[in-house]
Amino acid sequence: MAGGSEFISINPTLNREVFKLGGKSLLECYQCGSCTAVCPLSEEMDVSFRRAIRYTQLGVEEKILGDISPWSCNLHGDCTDSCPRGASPSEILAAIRRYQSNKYDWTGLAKWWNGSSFGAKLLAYIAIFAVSLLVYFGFYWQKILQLASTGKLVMISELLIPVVAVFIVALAILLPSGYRAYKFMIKDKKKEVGLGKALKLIANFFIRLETEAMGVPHKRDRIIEHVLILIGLGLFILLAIIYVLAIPFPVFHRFFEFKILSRALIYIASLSLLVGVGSPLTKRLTAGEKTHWYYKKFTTPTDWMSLVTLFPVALMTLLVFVFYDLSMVLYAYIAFSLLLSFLIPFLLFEFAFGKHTHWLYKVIAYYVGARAGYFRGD
Amino acid sequence: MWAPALDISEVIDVSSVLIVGGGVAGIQAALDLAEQGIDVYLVDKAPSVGGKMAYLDKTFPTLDCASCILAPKMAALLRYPNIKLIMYSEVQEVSGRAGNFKVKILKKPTYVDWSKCNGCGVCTEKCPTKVPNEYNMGLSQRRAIYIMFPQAVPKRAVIDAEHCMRLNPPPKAKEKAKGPLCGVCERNCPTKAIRYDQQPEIIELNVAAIIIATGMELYDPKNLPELGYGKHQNVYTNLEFERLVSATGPTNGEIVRKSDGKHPKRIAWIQCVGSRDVRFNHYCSAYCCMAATKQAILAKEHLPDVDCTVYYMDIRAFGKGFNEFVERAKKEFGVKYIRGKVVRIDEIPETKNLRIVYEDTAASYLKTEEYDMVVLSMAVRPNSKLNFPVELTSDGFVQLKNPYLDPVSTTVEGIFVVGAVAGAKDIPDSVTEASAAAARAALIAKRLACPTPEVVK
Repeated sequence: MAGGSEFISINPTLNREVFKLGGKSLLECYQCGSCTAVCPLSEEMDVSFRRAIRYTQLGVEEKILGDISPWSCNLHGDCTDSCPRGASPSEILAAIRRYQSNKYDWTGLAKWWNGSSFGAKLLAYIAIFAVSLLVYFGFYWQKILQLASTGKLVMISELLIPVVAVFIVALAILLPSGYRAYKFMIKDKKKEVGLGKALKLIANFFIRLETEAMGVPHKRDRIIEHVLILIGLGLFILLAIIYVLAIPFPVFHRFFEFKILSRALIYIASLSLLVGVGSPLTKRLTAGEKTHWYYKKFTTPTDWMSLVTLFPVALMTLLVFVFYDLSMVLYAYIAFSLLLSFLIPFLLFEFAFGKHTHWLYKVIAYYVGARAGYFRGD
Repeated sequence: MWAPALDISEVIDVSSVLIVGGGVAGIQAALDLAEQGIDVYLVDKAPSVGGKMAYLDKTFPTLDCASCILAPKMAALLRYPNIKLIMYSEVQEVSGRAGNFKVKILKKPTYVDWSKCNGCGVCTEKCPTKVPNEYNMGLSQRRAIYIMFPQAVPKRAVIDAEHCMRLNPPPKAKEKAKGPLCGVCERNCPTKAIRYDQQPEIIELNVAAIIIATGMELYDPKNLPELGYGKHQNVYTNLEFERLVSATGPTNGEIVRKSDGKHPKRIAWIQCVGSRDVRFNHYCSAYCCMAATKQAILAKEHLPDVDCTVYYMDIRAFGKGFNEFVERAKKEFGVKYIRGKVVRIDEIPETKNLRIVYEDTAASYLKTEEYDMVVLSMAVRPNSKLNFPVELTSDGFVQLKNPYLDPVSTTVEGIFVVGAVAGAKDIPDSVTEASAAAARAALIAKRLACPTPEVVK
């Protein structure tokens, strides 16, 4: 710890901020350590999130900003079940993650987003969605009719310009925030492990963790849902890359000539995404005392927001190809425009500074943790 | 409340006191009252007085031998002609008011005439049926006819009707036999004290005041299945370990493991099992931090090379001499204290050793450690399921009238409460409360103060 003359400054409002961000049981914790002991992730990593909760209670900001332990949590709730105070450590960690995201984000937009209610978020989303609708069904309508009359599904066209623009804006917000996150996390940590070994440790960590969790019904469901989302998004990105590469390098067009393969991949991608998003959404809506109680227990407005905004994207993607295969080409383009209209606010809010930034911060946290030697390996 | 009456004998009709519970608190109250010449009835559901203190080897913080300081008090009960011991009985009903409570007591049949029995113990040697011995926490066996423990007061035999072959013959044997089975104890009893036809008796008493001293029971460790009690052989409750380390216990004081009978090399104590926990009992059980320290010291005295560690959340060493006791354990005996709540105990099948999982909160990461024997410091629950008109707290303890100004009174005037049934506490505090309640009860019994005549039930 600190030497004789080193002082740590305390932020006295930190615990109140985390409390408002959703860490309602923050002050219940009496530091017994049951949560860290029971967490299957703690067995793999030498990080104590009980300590993170303690730092938060005390307001030790400089230790919280670079702490990677909240980012390993995947909210499966063993800690809450074993807490003798009835607190919910996984919820507190989620609130700490929101606090950290607020600090990493260089624009201040994350702070506004995380602090606002579900209603305010929905309103902002609807506003941008309305603007996008105007753009596609007003400004671009003639272009859509023209493209539809070709009878072909042309994905790369002027229609993509608004999306690409928003995507670039989103990246301009997200990437510097990611860099800030990296700077905070790497501070005071030494790079003890080489890159190759670090990657292997991360891979082992996931494989062991997920295999163990697959044995527990409610954890297994959530892992499968998450994997489906990743498959869906991953395949889409892959297909989009191939499609874009086909423009300068016509050889990539050969891929799309394997009609069955390319079509199958597209349908797999969109169905995966649809099920992966739709399943947790329905479960949250139908959760009761006995059925899917788990989904109801831990859900927050940011959860809902991210599912509610991603679901239409998934649905529209499927509809584009369904309509096209049914030779309803205009409807296919309408679905495509709707898809892009849903995608724009998603990229602008969720992807740039909302809940979906977790993929970037989590990756950075794992990388930093593995290089600093926190993963036990075996 | 304590207004002087014109004719006090109209309000206080009787001058005896009932004490429910014959643990150290009940015994102390009985002696204090009898010394003043007051008639005392001492009721206990066990065959002997002594309560939980009779199970202990040594007491904290002085390491006094528990039996050595308790037994003289137990024996003194027999020397007062005005103390009547009503053993193996339970209070069924209480009505009336302070100064004249009407009490109905159910005296369960012991099937032995205690006026004839002299406690020789021949019957206990001859009886063929073996049953787990509750006094040794199930670690040894007794017979169906038994004397609770050798220093029992009163030292009289009791037949456990459920397991006795004569009183409850097994169905198959009953069909085959032509008459009643067994009868070995009756044939061998030198004073002809066995009475198989004894019936339960209802005793009705009128008393001026009642003192509730029914004490506590351990919380069932099976409520925490992740700690493996009952599944893993070498996981003990703290009372079981206490019997193990006692010279009068199942192993004569040898600390040996259930699985292989060997001495353990590493013992761990887990604190706060079922205590301070919203899922089980909210409150702190108060005695167990000191009890674990005491047991760790005793283990070190019995086995000098043993490695003892106490896993705690906080060490509650609040009484006189307590902190010094803990420091003595650390410095003089080398007992280790690690701050971290143990969440899981797994068994290693080959050695039957135990692996505990906890977070070492000082080092801030998850650790596992292997031990030969693990002792769970169990929470305690009060024995408050009584047919008494007193109010209970939400935790189940008897509600005190005022914790600062009247901590031995209940919500019913004339009924007092002492000891662990009012709140988890240790022996000195229980004895102090007992003398306090005895003084208050004596005021009523001796007609020196007049309670308001409000009737209960």
